[in-house]
Amino acid sequence: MTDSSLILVGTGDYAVARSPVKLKASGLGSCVGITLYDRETKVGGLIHVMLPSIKEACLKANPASNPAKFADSGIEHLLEEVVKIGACRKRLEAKVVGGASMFSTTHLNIGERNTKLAKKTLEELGVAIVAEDTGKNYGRTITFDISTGDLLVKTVLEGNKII
Amino acid sequence: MGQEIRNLSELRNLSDFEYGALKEIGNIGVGNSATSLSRLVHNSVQTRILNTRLELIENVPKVTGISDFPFVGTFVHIEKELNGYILVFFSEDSARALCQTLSVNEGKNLSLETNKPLFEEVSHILAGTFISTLDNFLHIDASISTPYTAYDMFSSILNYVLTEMSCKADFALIFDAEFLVKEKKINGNFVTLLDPASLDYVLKKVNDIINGMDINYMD
Repeated sequence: MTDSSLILVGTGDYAVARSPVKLKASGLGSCVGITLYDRETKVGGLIHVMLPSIKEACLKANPASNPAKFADSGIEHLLEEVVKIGACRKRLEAKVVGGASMFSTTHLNIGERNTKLAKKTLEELGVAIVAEDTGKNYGRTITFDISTGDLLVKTVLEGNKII
Repeated sequence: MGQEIRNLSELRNLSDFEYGALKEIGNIGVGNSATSLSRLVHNSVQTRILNTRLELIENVPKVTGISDFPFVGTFVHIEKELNGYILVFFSEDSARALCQTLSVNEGKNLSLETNKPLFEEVSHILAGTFISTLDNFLHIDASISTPYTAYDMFSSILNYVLTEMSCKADFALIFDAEFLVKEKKINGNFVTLLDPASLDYVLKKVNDIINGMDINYMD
């Protein structure tokens, strides 16, 4: 289906949808994109998180800051939202992409910490991680096809692949 | 530098005058950087200020635009009295054109990977000029770190820097500017990001100058 709509998911943002929509997160650097998908009902969501933990955030909980910016609070929020629109929590499967460090300076190591915390949060919530493409030194753009659950990972240096 | 939390209602209190002053500062800084670039490439350089805005860090890509095309991007950290980042982007074609213009040897190697030091050097000069303009004009003592370059998607390079910045701040002041060297077909983007504390400091310095000039300004 070529005319299915495409939703752009910005930094620190999320979207949930039913088939046949596609969700896209552009330019993941050290950010991490996490998808949740229910194969049977064809319902899924994508979140684009910036930072690992809302609890460890240097800024004390700011009312203006949104939960989707952080891996831990964001994934929990995304899970609630996909269940709301018809996914079964037990059938959910997750994919994790991003968390790169493209520059030789890595004193903060946010990419790695993001990935680690995203995986830990998924584990705690009991969601299986079926695929991942994380780390390394290149940026990624991901397109999540809700009708099939395929996640297209586009990169400049390493070509494209579907996970 | 004190970490303060600003919320959106506070942001709207930036007056037209303050925005005007910030725009002008951006203009002067970028103008001087353009002069540096023009000396490097021996051609006239045009500049355009695309945006001066205070935004939530996660909304910065909406201001600068999103692109999946490959760019050579360099960033430096602004240190001392100010805290922020300067990013310099060249599209693939512009980057090659810049290599061609600046390489001395005939057997020109246009591989963007091996020419990384060249982009680091150019970006460092541009960013350095911008920062020293602030020093001359506002007497702000700031310096820049060593440059870091990557060849990747525009969005993901910007994303890396924004992530790093968002650890310490919620908002960023954005100066988004563009260079154009018509004769050489070089087009570059120059993005400066300052954290809220630095913004306050810059505005304080602006007010100092105004008070020093003995002009009564009513907000």
